[in-house]
Amino acid sequence: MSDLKKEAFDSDALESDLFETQEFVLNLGPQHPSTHGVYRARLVLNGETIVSAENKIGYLHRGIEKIAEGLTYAQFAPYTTRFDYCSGALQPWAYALALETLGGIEVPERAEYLRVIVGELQRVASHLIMIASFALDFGAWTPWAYAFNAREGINNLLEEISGSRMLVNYIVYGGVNAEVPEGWVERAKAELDKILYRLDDFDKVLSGNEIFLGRTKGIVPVSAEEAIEWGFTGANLRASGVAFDLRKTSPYSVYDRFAFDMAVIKGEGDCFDRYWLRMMEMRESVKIVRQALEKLPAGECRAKVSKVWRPAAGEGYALVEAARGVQGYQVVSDGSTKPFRVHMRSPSFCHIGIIPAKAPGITIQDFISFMASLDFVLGEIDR
Amino acid sequence: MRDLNVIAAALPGVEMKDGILVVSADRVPAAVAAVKKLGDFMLFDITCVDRPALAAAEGVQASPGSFELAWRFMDLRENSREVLTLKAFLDRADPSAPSVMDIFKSADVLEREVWDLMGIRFTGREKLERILCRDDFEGHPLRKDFVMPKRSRFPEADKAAPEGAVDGRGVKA
Amino acid sequence: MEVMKPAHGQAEPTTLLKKGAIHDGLEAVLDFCRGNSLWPVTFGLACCAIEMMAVGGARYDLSRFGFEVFRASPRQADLMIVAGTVTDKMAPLLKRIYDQMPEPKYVLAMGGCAVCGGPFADSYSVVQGVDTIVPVDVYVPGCPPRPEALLDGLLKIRAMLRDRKLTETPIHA
Repeated sequence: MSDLKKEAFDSDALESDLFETQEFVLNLGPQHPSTHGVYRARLVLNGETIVSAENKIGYLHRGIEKIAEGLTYAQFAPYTTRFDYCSGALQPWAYALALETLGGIEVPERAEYLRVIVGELQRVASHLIMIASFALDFGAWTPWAYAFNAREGINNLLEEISGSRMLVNYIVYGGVNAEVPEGWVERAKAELDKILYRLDDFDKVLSGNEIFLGRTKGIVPVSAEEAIEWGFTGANLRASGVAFDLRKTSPYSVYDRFAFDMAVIKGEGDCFDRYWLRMMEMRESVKIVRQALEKLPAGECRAKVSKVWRPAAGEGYALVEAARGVQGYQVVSDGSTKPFRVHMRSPSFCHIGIIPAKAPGITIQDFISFMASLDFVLGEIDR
Repeated sequence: MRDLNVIAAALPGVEMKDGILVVSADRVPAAVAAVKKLGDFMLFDITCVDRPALAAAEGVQASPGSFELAWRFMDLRENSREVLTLKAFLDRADPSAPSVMDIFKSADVLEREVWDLMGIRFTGREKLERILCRDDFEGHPLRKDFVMPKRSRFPEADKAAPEGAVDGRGVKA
Repeated sequence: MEVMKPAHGQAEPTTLLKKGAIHDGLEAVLDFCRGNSLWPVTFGLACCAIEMMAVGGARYDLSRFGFEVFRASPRQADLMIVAGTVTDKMAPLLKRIYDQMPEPKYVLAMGGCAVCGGPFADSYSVVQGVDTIVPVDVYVPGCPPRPEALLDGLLKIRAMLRDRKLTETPIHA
């Protein structure tokens, strides 16, 4: 009798015939507090361990690429912000660059600086959302509140220049949409200090927290080779040890004029690394914004372009380092006022590709950590 | 990016036409494998354009009514905002191309998206399923001959619309 | 209480709110209490979800009204804030979540997409307004609506619970 009892508590016995387990199918999502949008994973589970996982997406497929074919180039620009809605102000940049390539438009210097300032501020706001949701998935409510409060400061600045807190259509083809209001530069400088203060708060509350480390350290490491294989870009790629950042590797706009470091972590590439890299990146972004605000030159904020613009037939393809990775736009023109084809290369779309490969063998809790650390946004994936 | 002429020479079956690498569809896997062998290239996008009547825009003659499929690679070493592009032109009657999923794993989801939205059949891979549109969706929406379904919140009012009436989308009743 | 079946096309408002069912003193007290603790089910679909989260944050603070307790399970919630675009693929799931909520339940359509399809209304895969699927009590327009606008909408539900007469005519914010 005692032998049987001992066996029952022996973990190896779970594999034996004493405990007959059954696989069952669980749908994680699309309505789920931790899926960061309407993402569904069809999991086959054995107890709490995942046997296999399938991505089921498309619950937010709005057909935006088709809608683009019925609108003029300027009319489509606000739609670009709806792709990755967590970083609305950064989204139109790749589209604007593709149009500028197509039309040979030169952007004035002041506009480039303003683009960098707004883009980097938005990057910080986007990473704050990632950190907030990442922590919230483990039950940490305080960092979520801190992050959203810090984000409010950035939202104020974005609202002043565009009228919209979130889905900011400020970066347009030819430059930026409007001149910044009086005093905005000083307010932005003050905001940077508040952001740094909040980031220090995060470090105190979260980075050394035992529960947080237990949920993220060593969880689902992604090696550099795997990351390249699966088309990872952005923070996920750099957390796996590949030193690749478009702002540094092949600078566009005026990024080569600022002194900042590329954040890379040469480690296992686990969930903690992906979190820590974003923390580092936020500090680098603050550095860039500070320098850009100091050096902001006078000048025009937009090149002279017509609102109803008829570019020559051809194709423009442009890449930017967006908040979630490398974002690309392919814009094909047939010489009319409306684009013939608009395609958006979405960084998150490739990131979720790795999930069915990495899921087997991990527990559901680790799956949640993994998903949150990949930081995908369904608006971008489903388009 | 590394020298395009050098790369073109290293890829089998690839011709350079006006700065674009063009390959025939059946030789795509060999070319993509050669790109991988060059090292430090990432397949990060597969794009498709439906060009039924588009004039030869870039000097590359597209056969009338064809699909232009492009595999895009990023050079992780050097100036990677210049993207390495391999293009193939597919016949409209039965557009299909071999899959490169076992060469670059990122191609899995990218090919499914092109199948779903454009109807390009990728051969030699397991399970080519729709990924974005709903499972019972008919047609491939981004094709130019796709008929947009007429949707209205007020189907009864639409039925009573007079001849020649135009709704908010500019679609005639 | 009869089971509400929303009609295809424009749906009627919920029976309870419209008819002001059994409105004796006890129901009035219960409604007053319900109005002070409407618990939403987490149903953020798209961009409006981020604004909804901001409303739950410290600056706009949903919890001063008692609404901050977002329940992941619809069986524990009494309010569904449809925040974001409803696509054809998501529509049956939205209906299922709505059906799983116990009565009395309320629906708030947040943002242009939930109200009428919004900027994506003429897409091939977007439902033109969530009220074609479930009955909606309050519409909050905007793209996305400001957090204050969402708070206004939520307080309108609370006002409707306190004063039945408000449910008889549509309220325009």
